[in-house]
Amino acid sequence: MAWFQRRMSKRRLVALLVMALFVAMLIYGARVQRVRVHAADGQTVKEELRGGDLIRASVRQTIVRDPESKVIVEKDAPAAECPT
Amino acid sequence: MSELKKPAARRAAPLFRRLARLRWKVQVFSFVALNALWFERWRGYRLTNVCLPILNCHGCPAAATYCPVGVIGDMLKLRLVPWLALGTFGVVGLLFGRLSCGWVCPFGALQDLIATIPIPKLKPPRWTRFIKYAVLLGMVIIVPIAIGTETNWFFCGICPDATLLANGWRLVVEGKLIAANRLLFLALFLGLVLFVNRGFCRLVCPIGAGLALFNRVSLFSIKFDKRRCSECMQCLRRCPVEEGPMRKPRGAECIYCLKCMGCQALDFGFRDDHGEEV
Repeated sequence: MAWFQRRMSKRRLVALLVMALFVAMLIYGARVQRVRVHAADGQTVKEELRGGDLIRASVRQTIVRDPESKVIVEKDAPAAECPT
Repeated sequence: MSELKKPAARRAAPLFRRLARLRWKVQVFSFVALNALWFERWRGYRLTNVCLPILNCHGCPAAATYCPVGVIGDMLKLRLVPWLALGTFGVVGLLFGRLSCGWVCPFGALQDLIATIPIPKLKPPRWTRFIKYAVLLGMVIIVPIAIGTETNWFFCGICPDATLLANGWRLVVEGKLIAANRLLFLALFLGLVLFVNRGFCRLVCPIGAGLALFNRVSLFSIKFDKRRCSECMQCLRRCPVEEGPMRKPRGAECIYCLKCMGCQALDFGFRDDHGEEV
């Protein structure tokens, strides 16, 4: 306990607790969060994206949310090489 | 031979000079590494799925990592929570605070380069530092949800780094012209940087605003010992963001450039000071 008190200030304890929350977010984003990408018709599921692949697809805008069916569908147009 | 008896040329440079030299090396290395798609092609490692809290536009075909502004905007537009980007942002912020602004960010390095032009610098009023928080909230979070990302109101539409790297690349390699409004904003921000030290970081950058929220609790920090301070004000004079550790050792504006180092009252690192500026 003395070692803990010597090593751990209130600020550091807060930082580590909040960091645990962000690590959980990171793990959730990398491993758990999955998005089903439907074909252009909005019915058939073409693939499941997660983690970095999901980031890549959203940034390159190869997937869009269909305003009618509210599901994420594959974009017909070729991938945006430059999002800017 | 003692330190004092050595000839001036052989005496070790002050700590802040050695750190400044190291910082330039790190900034050059990070610019090459962050725009190293050649590495992916050469070795097959895929880095382009990683989001790092640094202003380095992934619109550039050479970019190796993603800028969190684009990731957050594009994922919010899809009505998805950008957990991975937020998690990375929080972990890096809590570990290092704004250290990445001062040492890694390529646009920060460009600002440091521009700051070497000998022009009298202006000191912006205190309220201007809140502009970046408004930019983060409005142009990075609210606009993608309300309008989308294909608008100039989204931050990427005015981002100078995107204009320089992504659009600059397109201009050089593919001959595509850069939109006039982008050039206007680029000129505006470069003009700002010319007259205000680290002007873009202090006034506009949404990534800096996000990381600034973690500066007070980040594990990496500057320690200031009030008892050892002789109030020479050297740290304040050298500070590019004009905050100075003797005023605010854990200030939100501090980019941990460590130019203030070199006196016995200041120290930096991960060691804990039990939250007190003694």
